Amino acid sequence: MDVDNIPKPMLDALNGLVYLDDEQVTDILCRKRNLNNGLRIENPSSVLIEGFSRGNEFHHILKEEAPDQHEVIY
Amino acid sequence: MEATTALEKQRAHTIAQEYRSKSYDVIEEPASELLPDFLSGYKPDLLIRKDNEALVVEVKTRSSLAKDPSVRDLARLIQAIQGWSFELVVAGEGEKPSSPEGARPFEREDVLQRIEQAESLLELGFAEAALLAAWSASEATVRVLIEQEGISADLFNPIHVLSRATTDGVISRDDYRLLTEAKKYRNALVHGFKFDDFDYNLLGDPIRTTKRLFTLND
Repeated sequence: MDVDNIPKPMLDALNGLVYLDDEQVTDILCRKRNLNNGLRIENPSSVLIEGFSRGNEFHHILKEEAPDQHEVIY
Repeated sequence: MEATTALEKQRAHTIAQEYRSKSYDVIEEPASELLPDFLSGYKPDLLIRKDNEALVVEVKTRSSLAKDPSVRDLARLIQAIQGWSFELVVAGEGEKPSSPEGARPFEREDVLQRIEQAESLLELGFAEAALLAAWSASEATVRVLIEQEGISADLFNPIHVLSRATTDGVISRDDYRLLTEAKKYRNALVHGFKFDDFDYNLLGDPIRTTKRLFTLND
C-alpha cells in the first residue's frame, strides 16, 4: 500500500472517538516500515510493543497536541 | 531477560559494539548485582551508561516478544525513571535463509508437479514426503497470489507470506489456519522431529486447499 493511502481511512475512523472531526488535525507524520528487516525503537509505548508481539502487520497511531500553529519547524 | 536466540544475541552484541564506539559504557547481560534496585528481577540484554544518561536495551524477535509480556512492564518501568530510557530492538526474522545461487521461484508447472507428487506420495503411503511436497506447492502458490495483487512477495519467511496473504484478503482466515497448522508439522519434519498427533488422513486438506488456491491463479 502506498504510504499516502494509509492515513485517510485512519483519520476517518477516529472521528468521534479521538476528536470530534478530523478537520481538527493539523499535522500528520505517516511512516511505513517493513517489520521483517527489524527496527530500533526508543521508548516505545506498551501499545506499540503489543503490536510487535502480535506477529502481523499493524497500524500504530500516536495522537499529540497540535504544535504552535504560528510556527513551522522541520 | 537473557537473549534467547542466536539472532538476538548477535544483534545485541552488534548494538553493544556500536554504543562502545560512541564512548558509552556497555555491559552485556548484566548480572543482577550490577542493576539498580528498580530493575530487580529483570535481566536486560544491555545496560548502557554515559555521563548522566542510562539506557536499557532489549533485543527481541517478534515471536520472542509474543512469549515475553514482561518487556512491556520493563519499558513502562524504565520510562518512569528520570534519566533512564529504554530501547527496544525488534530483530528481523524475515531475512532470507541461505539458498543455492540462482534459486528462483516455482513457476506454474513446478507448482502443479508438486501437487501431483504430493497426491501420488499420499496414495502410496509416503505421508511425510507428501506433506513436504504439498507444503512446497502451498507456499509457492500463496506467493504467486500475493504478487498477482501487486504486493511484493519478497518475503522468504513462510510466516510472513501467509500472514501477509491473509491481511490483504488474498487467502481466507480458514485457509490461513489450515496451512499454518500444516506448516507446524512440516517444520517439525524438516528439522528432524517426529510427532504422533498428525492425522495423515487429513493431509488431503492442505493438498486440496492448495489446488483450489492454485486454480485461482488461472
